[in-house]
Amino acid sequence: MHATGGRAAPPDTFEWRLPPGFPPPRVPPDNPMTPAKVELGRRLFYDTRLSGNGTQACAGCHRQTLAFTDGRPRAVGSTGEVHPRSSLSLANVAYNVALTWADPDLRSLEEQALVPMFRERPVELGLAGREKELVARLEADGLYAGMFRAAFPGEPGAIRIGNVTRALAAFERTLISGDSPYDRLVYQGRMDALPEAAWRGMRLFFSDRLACSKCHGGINFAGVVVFEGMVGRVEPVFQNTGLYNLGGPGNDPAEDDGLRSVTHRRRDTGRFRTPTLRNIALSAPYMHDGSIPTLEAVIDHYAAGGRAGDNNRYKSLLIRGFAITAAEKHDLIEFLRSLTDESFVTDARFADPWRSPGPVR
Amino acid sequence: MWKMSAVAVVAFVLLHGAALASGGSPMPAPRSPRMAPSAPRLTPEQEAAQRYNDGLKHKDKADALASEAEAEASNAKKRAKLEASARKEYEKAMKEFLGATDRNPAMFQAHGGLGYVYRKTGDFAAALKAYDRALELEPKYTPAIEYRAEAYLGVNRVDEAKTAYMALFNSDRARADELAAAMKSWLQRRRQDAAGLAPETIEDFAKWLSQREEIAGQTSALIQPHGSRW
Repeated sequence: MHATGGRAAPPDTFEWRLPPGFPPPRVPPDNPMTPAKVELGRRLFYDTRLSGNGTQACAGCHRQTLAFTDGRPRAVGSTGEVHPRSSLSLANVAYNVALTWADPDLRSLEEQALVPMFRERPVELGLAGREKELVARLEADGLYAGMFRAAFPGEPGAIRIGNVTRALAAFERTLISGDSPYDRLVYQGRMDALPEAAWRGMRLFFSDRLACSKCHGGINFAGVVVFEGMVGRVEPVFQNTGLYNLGGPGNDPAEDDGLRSVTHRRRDTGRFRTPTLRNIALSAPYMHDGSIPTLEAVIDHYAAGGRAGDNNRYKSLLIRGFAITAAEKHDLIEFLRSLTDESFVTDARFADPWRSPGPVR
Repeated sequence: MWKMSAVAVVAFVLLHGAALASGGSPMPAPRSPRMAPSAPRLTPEQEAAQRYNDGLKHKDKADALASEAEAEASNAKKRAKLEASARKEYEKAMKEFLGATDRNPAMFQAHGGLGYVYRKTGDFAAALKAYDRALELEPKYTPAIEYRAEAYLGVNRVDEAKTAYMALFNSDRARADELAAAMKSWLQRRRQDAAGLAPETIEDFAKWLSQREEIAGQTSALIQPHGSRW
């Protein structure tokens, strides 16, 4: 299904070009990767026709230069509606156990793509009830007619919602970030890749005192991951990071109580998925609601053991506070900056094809 | 009747070759085609697998004797005797591995086995040649990557050993850890006897190894080694 270099691959074989140390992502059997499908997905990802009013593409909330986040505290949909949560980075999204901020059951990118397209509360791309209109828009574009045929060969009526989400998912699986200074040190063996301060920060990050890696561990700095060839099923982990204590111990803002809104279990109040720290210096502001503006402030938050200290019954036991000097904080931030992969945010394979040389809309 | 029973025994051994592999170089024999009871002769591949597995048995025995000799610090005479016995077993293993490569030149495991016994008997040049051949035939054969790195250390080619470590770090973390342990032992020996290496080279290597061990302790292995294959 995928080649990793060496022999020349047939034209319908997708070549991952994985960074050293990165396993091949898991791909659903009914949506194999092909270059034509990935390229179609890229077109769709950057196409504003994928919103009801034609003003917003997926890329509106997932900008490459910001590691596929949007720089806003909370996302804004195509109709201007502000969301309760911030846009998650798509870097290495192929390895995520679960998707979005707080849904343990949403595990496939194909299914996830339906959420921004059709959700009504809040409206994201605003396509609910406009499925036929979307298909008609795409059918009217001769470029898409050829691209869908190439991506889904032999399928009559290939332009349909199911194939739109398959193509989007295929493109998103290619968004692999693994060439940061940290990666060059750890997986490429370049021992001078990290400045001294970042190296000291790395020790702090993995230390028991700060325990950052207890949640932000693994190849994606987001806890457990899934990948091709992996044995067994893993479950996503959600944590309450002590952000809120409104209207009584542990209560989160009424409009968003995290995992509890899905499970309806009180103990899941304010619990959200641990996001990746890859490219974290590019994805401010932070936390699920963008309520912390800088990395310095995030460290202060965790050093204090959360906003409400220990007066939060739902807070994760891992959020217990720690002492940190100004110099250590500086080092830790240098380490977090070393997780920035400049090549990822400039890689032409992930860029807006409507702006690149080639067919013009 | 006797002939048929012998063939059946050989077939059993071949099909269960993996069970015979143990110790430092676990290399199961390649699968052999199922043999009909009337099959008069083994194919060259099957003969090679048989010789290879016999070689492994001698290698394992030699490794055990060598460990025993190493532990025998107080009695020099006994130690020398154990070392001589180990050497004999390595020579027997070498003969079998050579036989295997003669019958099946594409059997990378046997080339790897040869590299192992050459290295253990101090012939690093021959060991490197054998490992190179094994890796030409199968570039992902991590046992050969690991043991070739140890052979590199034997001839002070530290940069190549480091490169091998990184290849294992990204493909077979358990073997990378084993290599790191072997590197640590090598370092101790070189600190006692530099064998022509400059002191700063030795200390640079010590720093590198300490940093890599720190990194290995902080990161988890994701890619599953080809355990079932090798």
